[in-house]
Formats: sequence, structure tokens, C-alpha cells
Amino acid sequence: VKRSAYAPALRRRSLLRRGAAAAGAAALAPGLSLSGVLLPGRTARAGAPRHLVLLRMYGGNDGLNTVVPYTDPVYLDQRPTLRVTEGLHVLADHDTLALRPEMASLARHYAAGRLAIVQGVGYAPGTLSHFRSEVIWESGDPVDVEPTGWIGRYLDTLAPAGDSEVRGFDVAWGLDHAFLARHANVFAFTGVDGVRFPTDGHREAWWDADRKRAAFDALSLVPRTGTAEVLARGGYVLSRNVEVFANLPDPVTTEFPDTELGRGLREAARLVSASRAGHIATSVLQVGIGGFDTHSDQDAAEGHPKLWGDIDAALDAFHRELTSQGAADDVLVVAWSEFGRRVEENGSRGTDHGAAAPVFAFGNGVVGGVHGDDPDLVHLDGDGNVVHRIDFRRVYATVLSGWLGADPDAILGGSFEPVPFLRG
Amino acid sequence: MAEWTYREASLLLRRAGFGAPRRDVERAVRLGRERTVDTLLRFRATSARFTGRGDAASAARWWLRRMLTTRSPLQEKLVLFWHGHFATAISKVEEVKLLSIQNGTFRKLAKGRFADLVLAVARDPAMIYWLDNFDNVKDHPNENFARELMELFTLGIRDLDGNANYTEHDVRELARCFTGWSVDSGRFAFYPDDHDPGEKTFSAALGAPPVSGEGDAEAMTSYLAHSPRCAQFLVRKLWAHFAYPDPERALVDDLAAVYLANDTAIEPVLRAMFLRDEFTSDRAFAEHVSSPVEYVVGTLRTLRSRPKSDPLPWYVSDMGQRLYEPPNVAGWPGGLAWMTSVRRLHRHRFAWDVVSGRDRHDPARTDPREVVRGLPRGAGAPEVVGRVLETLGVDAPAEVRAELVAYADEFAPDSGLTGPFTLRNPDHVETKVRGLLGLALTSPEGLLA
Repeated sequence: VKRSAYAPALRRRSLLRRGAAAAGAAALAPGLSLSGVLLPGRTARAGAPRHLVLLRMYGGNDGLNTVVPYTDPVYLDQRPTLRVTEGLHVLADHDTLALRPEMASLARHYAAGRLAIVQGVGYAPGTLSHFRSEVIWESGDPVDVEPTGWIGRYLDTLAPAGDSEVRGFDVAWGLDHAFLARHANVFAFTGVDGVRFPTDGHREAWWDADRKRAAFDALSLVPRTGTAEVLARGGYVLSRNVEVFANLPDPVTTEFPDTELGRGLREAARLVSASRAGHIATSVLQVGIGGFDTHSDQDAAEGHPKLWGDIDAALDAFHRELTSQGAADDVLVVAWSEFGRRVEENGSRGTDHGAAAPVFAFGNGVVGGVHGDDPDLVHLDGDGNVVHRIDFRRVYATVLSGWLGADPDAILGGSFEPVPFLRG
Repeated sequence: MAEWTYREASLLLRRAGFGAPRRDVERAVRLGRERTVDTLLRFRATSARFTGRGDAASAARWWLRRMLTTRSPLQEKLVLFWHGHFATAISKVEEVKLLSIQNGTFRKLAKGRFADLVLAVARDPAMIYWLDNFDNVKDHPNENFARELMELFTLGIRDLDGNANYTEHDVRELARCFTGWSVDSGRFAFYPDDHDPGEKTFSAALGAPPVSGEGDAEAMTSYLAHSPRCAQFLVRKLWAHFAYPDPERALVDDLAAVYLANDTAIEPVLRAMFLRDEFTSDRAFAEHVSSPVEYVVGTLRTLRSRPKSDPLPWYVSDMGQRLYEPPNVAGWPGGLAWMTSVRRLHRHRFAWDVVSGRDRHDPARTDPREVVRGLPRGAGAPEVVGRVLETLGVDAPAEVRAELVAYADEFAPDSGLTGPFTLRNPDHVETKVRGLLGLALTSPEGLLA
């Protein structure tokens, strides 16, 4: 059993929360700072009409064992131990493909027109490095790797100069390159409920706490350049926003699976609700699930099957929750991975790094069905991988123009033909 | 010749170690830069490691305690560098003992020849499990270790001019070299029957001569470590760890030459680095975001705070640096990636816990009187602010100093105290010096110290 020795203790002691009772965490009305002053730039706002939730599959999802070409003789031949042939959910309108057995809910959503499968997404020239490929996808730039992310550049179009709103939210410890922006503010938290802005455990000087906070804000506003400027701005935005996020209402009633992704999507549902209610101005979120680097024992119960079981259950809960909030028409989920996996399985009941793979779009706003051709397993690249037919930036362009109403050319640095997987 | 004052001496002791109390910095100022560097580099190669029972957090606690108390801080700073460079995680390796052995190997070879270290890592059981080399056999080569050996450990994907350093063909051929390198009973084992002795040829991009038979993997680790592109790759990474990211090309070329001229030995490279003017330049003060371990250990060493060692692994892991559990084989990304919202708040939590000294969770007792010791009795807020910033190595602009002075001089009406701040009033010292320490540590410049 693989288990991190740290995990239980981390759950036991959430350092940020532990002092909350002693400090008497104030329940603040949204938009108000500790001192009760309306934040600069925080005016009454209409809730963001549309939200985008990115679902990251870390490690390289095996697209062929997800949307399975179960009749393709090359697939059957190249995957002697890993091929999935039983319990499949054959796509009624596209019977050369089937979803793997754990995707029962997603098969139902597919039948209802809520799941779009975009086949053969990738880029050229490819790389088999996780890190390089991730940053290519995240930056939206396969050549030079932009210092900003494609989401960050979109958020910059929403954020006025000196913005103190939090526009993007990565439900994670770290922040993806995709969210790196020039001036738009983005947060990364695995969960913000009850988080407070620490100043002081010095209870005998309780009377000094407000002054420390004010001094922190004041010194953060001193003009700077370079890295110090980024740190100053980040500190100020944290100070202005942490209590707002920590005290958001929690209207989520659906029971989510107790998995990494289930907890992440539950948090995303809470943030979407808060954004729709105008408490925050966060319109792009990201959740993640790791474990797709299946070099060995891919078909073990805790391997690829469990990953898709987790995604299936968590996305279904997310959809039910959004439906009960009346928000299901306004949220689009896009699930992607840095690459697919090799057609031919390796000798360890696993698959090595590949190239093109399907991207999934999920929500009431999609044009359900399969977009793009079935993978060509005969004409592979020099490494034995599926060649991409749809550049990943065409997917981004579709989302930017068709869902977020943005100008994709400026954000992507070029013109990319949308793929018609979204309704108008 | 670069300046050598308290400011530069303090920076060197922070970067080549983990921060130092005032008397150590003052001693370094007197010794001069060269002798200080000699002192830092003069440590004994030891393979000391955690040998107790317990989980990865216990091993991390042992190591953090060593960093806090060691008289060879550079050695531990190097072990930390190698842990991030050859990033190996307990979640896959599962055995704390194996990671502790790897940790001892890093300590033993910390400043030695990189060629020796690469070979030791290739034979390291934790690494062999981590990158699946136990699965790398003649009939079914596994590319995982070979790929990362070139991409992350020695060359990088491209050189500084943007040319590919190797091809996918090279990955496959290099993987064949390491077939049969495995583990038996927790030790390295070579299985000749699993080894592919055939000839391996390499691309013009990599430029390595063909190898075959037993000894092919050893030949290739040596080839990679001695490559000029490895020299550039490694000194850039060392410079980023110790000084600032993305160093100037001329600096990289100079240090790479030192590396190659010394048969890949790290100690001469470090000496050259620490004696460079750039090491204490404006960029060095302005562009190095401290890692969680640097922040926690450095603060505690500088303030001579007496930690209860217990919570230290949790502090650094909450800030994003879980020792023995790097996020992936590329190690911790570092720089501003340490500063995402939740990680930053954990730094603030730690800083205030350390300086307040009253919280039942606090990891340390900080004595504010110690910080202002030696100042004139009648000193006011400007002198105290100057002392706090200097002690912590916080290179703050004048406007920040002014804000801190204003904070120190102002007392809440219900405090029963009145300003301006004076050292003569012990209640002023007790509250405002602690407050200044916390504000300095959480300020942008405090995170860059």
C-alpha cells in the first residue's frame, strides 16, 4: 500500500486553522476588510455569467484506454495485456469507440449530449518530457514557452490596472503556469474555508494586532520593481481577500466523493456559487488529479481504472450540485493531460509517454459527441505515438471565443480555427 | 572588489549556510571574505544519516535539527541541493531507510566530484525504485531513469543556445546501458543476465562514442558528467540555488570552466561562486526567493531561537517543501512558485509563531531584548528598525523603513502605553520589537533575504 507518511499528520494539523478560535476570526461581510473599509476596486458586481473549470490529469492520460477503439485490430494487437474489451460503454452515435467501464456516469452524460470528446489533440514538435509538455500546454506556446499562462493572459483582459479582485483560482497547493498573469490576481488554495491571515500569536499584545495588519498593508503598497514588486502585490491582495474567501457561504448540499478530485470539485462548486452571487469575481478555476504516469501495472485496480472511477464519480456529483444551484448552464469543464501514451504497451503492464490524446468538454453548453477522427494507429510518429490532428490551441480558441467571449488571437498569439464542440 | 560589510557577510552566511546570529556575522566581517569562504568549505565528508525508527517525517525532523545545529551549514545546504536535484520521494520508494541512505550519500559526496555522485545515484537503491530501473531489463528496457539522467540530472533538454542535447534514440540506447542495474536486499545489485551487452550508438547531438559490454553505463555516466553542457547545466542550477536564477552567460561560462578544469569537483566551483562579485550583487539581494527550509532554519538560527523540534517538518511541508517528498523528479520549482497564496500564509504563520514567543504552538522562544542588545539605551524606533532589518538581512527600501518606524512609534489607545518607542520602556521592547521582527520577516524583502 502506497501511503505518504506525512498525509495523516497534515490532516490532523491544519496550521492555518488552528489559531482561528483564539484569534476570534471575524465573520466578515464580503467586500469588507478587517477595518470595515470598502476595498479599492471592490464595488457591487454582477456575478460572472460563465465559469470555466479546468480539470488536470497529471502524468499523461492513456487516451486509448479511455475512449477505447475496441474494434481496431492494431489496438487489440499492440495491447495484448492492457486492452479493454469488456464492460465498455459503446457510444451509440459512434460505435467504433467506447468509454472504459468505470465511466458509467459519463456515458450517461454523453448520451444526454453533455460530453464532448475532442480526439487527437496535441502539438508539434512533440516532447516526451512531462515538464516540458505541461508548460507548453499551460503557456499555450509550443515553441518559446511564454512566461505567462493562457488563462493568465485571458484573466488580464478582465482585470483593470490595480485590480484587487481574485480572478482565477487553482484548487491546489501550487499555482499552475496556466494561471500566471501580468497583473490579474490568482489564488491557489486546496480549500479556503476558515483560513485566516496570520499576524500574531502574541496574546498579551492583542491591542497591537490591527496595527500590525495595517503596517503590513502599508509596507506592501510601497512602490517596488522586479521580484519584490510581485511579492508586495501578492501580499497585499492576500491581505485584502483572505477573509472574504474564508467566510464565503457554503451552499453545497450534494455529497461529493472523498477523493482528491471530489474535494477539489466540491470547493470549485462553492466558489462558483459565491461568484454567481457576486461575493467574489473568480471565473476560472482548476482542479487536478494525479497518477496518470502509468509506466507499470496500469490495469491494476488502483491504477488507471481507479483514476477514471474517481473522475466519473466526482464529475457526476459536480453536475448534480450545479444543477441544484441552477448553475449547470453556466459552467464548462475541460479535462486534459500533458500527453497521451504509447500505442504499444511496454513490458511492465504499462505504457510509456505518448503524444496526441482526447480532451473532454463537459457541461450543458457543449455539443455532445465525438469531434475529430478516430485515432490512426497505423501512421504513427517516430516514437510510435499517435500523431495529433487538432492543435491544442484550437481547443483553447474555442473556449476563449465560444465560452468566455474573449479574443483568442490576442491571447494565443495567432489565429486558430475553433472546433465546434460548444453551442453558440 | 566587492564590498565586504555586515550586509555582504550576512548574505554569504545565509546563502552558503542558513543564516547566522550577529556575532558570527561580525566575526566573518573581521575574517574577510576569502577566509570566511575557506571556513565554510572546510567540512569533513561524512555519511551521517538518520538511523532511527520512524516515518519520513521523523527522518525530516532529524535532518532539520541537524541543519539548525550543525557547524558545517554549507554541507547541509548542499545535501538539500542534491535532494532537490536528484529528487526522490518516499511515496514511491516507501522505505525511509533507503531515502536515509541516499541522504547520507549526498552528505558524503556533497562537495566531491559530480561524476562520482552521478554514478553513486545511479546505483542508489532509492533511485532505482523511484525511476523504475529495477524494471529495466534486456528484453523490456525501461526508459525512465535514462531519460531523467539526461533531462534533469546532467544535461537538460537543450543547451544554452537552444540546440537539442540528445534525441529519443539516445534515451533508448542509454536505457539499454542501465539494464540489469537493480536492487537486492536493499543494496545495489548488477544482474549480468538482464544486462544488454550489445553495442549502443548515440546521435550527433549527444556526441558520445559507442559503448558496449559491462561497464557501458559507467562510461556513459562519466561521459555525461564531463560534458561541457553538463557543466553549464549544473553551474546554472547551483547558482540559482545559492544566489539567483538565470545567471549571466559570462558567469556561467567561467564557472563551467572551473568545473571542467577540476574533473567535475564541486568544491572549487563553490569557492569560485562565493568569491564572485555577482554573489553579493544587487541581483543577489533582489532575486532570491528563499525556500521554506532556508526560511525556517535561517530565521531560527539568526534569532538563536530555541525550537521544540517537533513541528518543524510540518512548517516546511505546509510551505510547500515536504522533505523526502519532492513534488516530482524535477524537484521543487523554487522562486516565486514558493509564494502561492496558501504557502505564503503558512510562512506568515511560522514567522509570527516564532517571534511572538507566547503561543502554545510556537516552535521557538525569541528574546526581543537579545535582538536590540548593544544599542544605546536611549535608542528610538529608527535605530531599532535598522537593527531588526540588518539582523534578519532584510534589504528594505527607505519607505518601508519609514512605515516600520511609524508602526513602532504608534500605540493603540487601549494599550496603556504611549509612543514614541523607546528602548528604556521594557513593554515597548516586548511588543514592538516582536512586531517589527514579524513584519520584517513577512515583508517582500524578508522573503528575499
